[in-house]
Amino acid sequence: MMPFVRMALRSLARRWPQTILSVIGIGLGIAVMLAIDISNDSARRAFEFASEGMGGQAEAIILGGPRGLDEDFYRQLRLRHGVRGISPVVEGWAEESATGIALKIVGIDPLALSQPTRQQDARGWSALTELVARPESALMTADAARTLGIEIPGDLELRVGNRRARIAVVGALPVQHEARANALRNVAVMDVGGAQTLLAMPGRLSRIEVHDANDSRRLTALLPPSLRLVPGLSQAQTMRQMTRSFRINLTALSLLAVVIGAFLVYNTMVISVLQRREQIATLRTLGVTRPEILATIMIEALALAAAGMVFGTLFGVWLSHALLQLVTRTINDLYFSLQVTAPAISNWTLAKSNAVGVLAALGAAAAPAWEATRVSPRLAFCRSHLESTTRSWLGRWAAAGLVVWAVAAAILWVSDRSIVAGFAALFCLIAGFALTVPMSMVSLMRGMRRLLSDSPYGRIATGGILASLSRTHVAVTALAVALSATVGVGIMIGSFRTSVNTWLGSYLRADIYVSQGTGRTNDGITPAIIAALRKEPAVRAVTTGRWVRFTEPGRILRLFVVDVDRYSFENFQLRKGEVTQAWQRFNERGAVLVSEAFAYHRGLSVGDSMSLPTRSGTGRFEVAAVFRDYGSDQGTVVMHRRHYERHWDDPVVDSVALYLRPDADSQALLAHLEPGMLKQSGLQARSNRALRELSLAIFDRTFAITGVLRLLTVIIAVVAIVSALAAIQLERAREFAMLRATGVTRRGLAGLLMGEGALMGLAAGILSLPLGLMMSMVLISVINRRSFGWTIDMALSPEHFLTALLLSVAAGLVAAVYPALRMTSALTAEGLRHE
Amino acid sequence: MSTKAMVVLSGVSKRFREGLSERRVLDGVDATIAAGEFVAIQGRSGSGKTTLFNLIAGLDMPDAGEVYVDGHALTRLSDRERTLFRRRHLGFVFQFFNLIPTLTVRENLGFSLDLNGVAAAKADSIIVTLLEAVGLAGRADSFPDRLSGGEQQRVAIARALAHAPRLVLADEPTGNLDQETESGVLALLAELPRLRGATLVVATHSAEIARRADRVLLIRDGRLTAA
Repeated sequence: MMPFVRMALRSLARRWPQTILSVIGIGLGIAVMLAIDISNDSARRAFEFASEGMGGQAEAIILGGPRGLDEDFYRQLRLRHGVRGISPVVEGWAEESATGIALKIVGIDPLALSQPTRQQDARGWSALTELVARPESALMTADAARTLGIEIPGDLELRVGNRRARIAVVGALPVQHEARANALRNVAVMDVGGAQTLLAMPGRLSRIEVHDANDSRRLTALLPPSLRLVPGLSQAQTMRQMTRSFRINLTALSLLAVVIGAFLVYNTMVISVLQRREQIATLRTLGVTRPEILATIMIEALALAAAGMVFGTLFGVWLSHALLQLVTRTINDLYFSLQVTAPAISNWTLAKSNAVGVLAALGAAAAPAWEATRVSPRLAFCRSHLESTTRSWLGRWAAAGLVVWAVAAAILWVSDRSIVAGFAALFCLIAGFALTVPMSMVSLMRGMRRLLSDSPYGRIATGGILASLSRTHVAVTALAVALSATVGVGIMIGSFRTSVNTWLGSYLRADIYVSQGTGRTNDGITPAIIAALRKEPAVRAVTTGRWVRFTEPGRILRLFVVDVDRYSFENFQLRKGEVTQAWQRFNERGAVLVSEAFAYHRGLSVGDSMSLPTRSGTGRFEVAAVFRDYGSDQGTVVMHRRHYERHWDDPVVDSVALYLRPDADSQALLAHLEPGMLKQSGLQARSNRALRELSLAIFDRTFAITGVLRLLTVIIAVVAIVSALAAIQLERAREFAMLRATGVTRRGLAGLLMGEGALMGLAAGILSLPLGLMMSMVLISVINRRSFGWTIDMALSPEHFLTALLLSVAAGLVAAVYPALRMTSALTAEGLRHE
Repeated sequence: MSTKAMVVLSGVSKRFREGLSERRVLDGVDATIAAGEFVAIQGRSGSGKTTLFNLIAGLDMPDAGEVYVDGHALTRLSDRERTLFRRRHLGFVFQFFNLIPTLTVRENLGFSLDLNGVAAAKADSIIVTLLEAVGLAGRADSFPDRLSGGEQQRVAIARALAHAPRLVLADEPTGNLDQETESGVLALLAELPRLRGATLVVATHSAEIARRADRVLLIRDGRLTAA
């Protein structure tokens, strides 16, 4: 085997510029996948730590209505029914006065924690018991104290709504794991009584945690209709489920980078095999068997993959730091609050990404390696035979491409709602396209040849591309596929942004929006403040809102309670349902509006009914209409306040929308309200414009990570085309030397090479447009719909197409620079002498 | 000279399709080449010399007839068996040398020995002997692209003989060399295989090679005849 290994490695060393570019390509693919995997994994682990209660993971949780549950029920369970394995939890938010940092207050009863939990961490247990003695005291991690700039022990000034309070931090919360420390970075742990006082929740609990599986079975019979028992794991599962689509989309995008990287390896290996057909034929003549030829080529691919692994792992770990910030920020913007400071890198993650990268590289090399074994010693020395064979295959490849497209269509047809199947169809679409590119390229190049027929250089350039079809089609296909991904993702993001902008224009019609700041209270915005706002002379109308979250197994239901009038009701863009009828049902019969995402995920339509946990048990509500909403991919249910208050004991308002008189100045009103009433009450106000800008900023932040992945994919694609074109040009050294010998000037030859590069780039750019368009349609109508449930209106902009064309021509020109420099500086005789 | 047959061609025919038409390159060729013989095959370009070589080497299969080399019916062997047969029993010299560019001169010679499982120490000794025989002892660690055409062909001859094949096939071995270099290479080619007991079959236009051969066969109109 040694001579084969030697040959393989020497071959890579000889073509070192291509080898380096291939290593970069496959390495970048591995790096992107690894970085995404690490980021997703870190966020998941951080959330798992954050979702654990102080006593570890609860077996089950008892939940009440929007305002929690009565503390008396907890007492009854312990004292009257003898249920011991339960503990109360109070949760809420406060704001550190000096820094304005939001702090989560978690109230627990250390004495109620289970015995095993106490034994697990004796030090932590002893610190927790200190809280019982001093109700206004708290524990926090040393990190959290450092962030707030306080010593332990020390005092902490807090704002909760319009109230101020001081608590004493009496000790440090011990943490054994860094991810756990991150999860507790913005948390202060208090005794349940102290937390109730601080958060103005006298006699109320946020939830009861159940630590004994036997108790949870018993409790089902003891719960009143207004309370629900949900599995303890459901919180972490819910968060995982909520971010599932987001994570799948990121993983698919990172796979796209791997696919493009694999294309680069395929490209390199195809050209390597083609360039060495004569050598392979010699080897076959000398008695080297087909499996030995296969092994030689695969050893080369393995060496490329191994070098790519090293580069990819190092770069991927570095990249994960940047991507983790973007992933965490998106999760914070769209899903829930999460603190992750450092990536969690496991051996499994490293192994998985590297395995995918190596398999992609070996898979990409398999076809050229197999092709190498088929090299006929008799025909290998005949280049024209190779080119005519390639041409004879064009029709068959195109037909195979159509078959693969049919497979993509079939997958979409039968797979219904599967996101993974959607991506499988997308990858089939790409593969089918790759098979049709060579035939389209020949037609395109013949057209270009006719256009350039007046110029001898034009004829030579187009003729050269067509004459070397066996090599040129691979490079053009690789670039076209990579560029189409850029076009497709670009159109999808552009269309999404346009849809979000249109939706915001319709949804946000009030002039000013008032909401609670970071130190939000359970009391919400008080009736006195709402009355004062109504009395403002500039205010024409006021609507109030209330967000309520219901935890269900595996998901969270968001209910938006509004007291809109007929006019404001039209802010909801209805996708299904007629406005007048919907308003009548919504206003008079207590029917609800559901967002597109909600309707999609739960299979609901107008006239169907859905259930919600009310104070008297499960209530059924009719769906009056389905409305457009991009606020949450989990979906939203909207209910009129009048009907909400019939089913829940919750008068709280946590947002107010102010509609001003036509002649009123919203900035002047903001300037009047903010320093006075709003600041004193711990409320914040935003103008319509500011809120729209903030929403679009969040949208842009959400797609920042997609932008990074897209950029990396383009880099991989450009590396691919540079590698392939440079190899093709260098291979034709003899032909170019002959042109120089027949009187073509250096400048003329440089122009010819650059022209060929630009023409191949342009061909790839033009061919990338239809696939880009098709990809965007699949991304919009299938992937987004299946992942998030909403529909997006396609918005085409010439910018996406022009960018692809410019990028493709630029890549072609860049690829031709090195060969042009080398060919024009090489001595003609030298070039003619060497094959 | 031994009288044992090294190559036997019996009623060998070969046709090629060219577009819609068909060209019969070999038409019922019968020939026998004895072991240890040096035979030159001559014919015009396109007359079928290379086709005949490919059939003797087992690189191609006849449409009709049988090809025996050293008693083995190549037409009855599988592709893998024919490959291993070439590895063990045949040596090749090509017009364009076809040395492996990524291997040094020493490694090119060692390649056939490696394939045949010759121990490293024995292989080294064979390589040294052969390089001395072709006058390139000082170039063992050079890569082929550092050698002149004549030097490359001398390495190719040494490589063809390294694993002591029973039959050496040379296709226009001097077709790419100048006249002065040709005679040096030819001298080697005419002597070395015979010294090592190999049969030598050379396809050539060269009158010089034909003059040195034991026998000259002429290929014309698909038939092989004595010149």
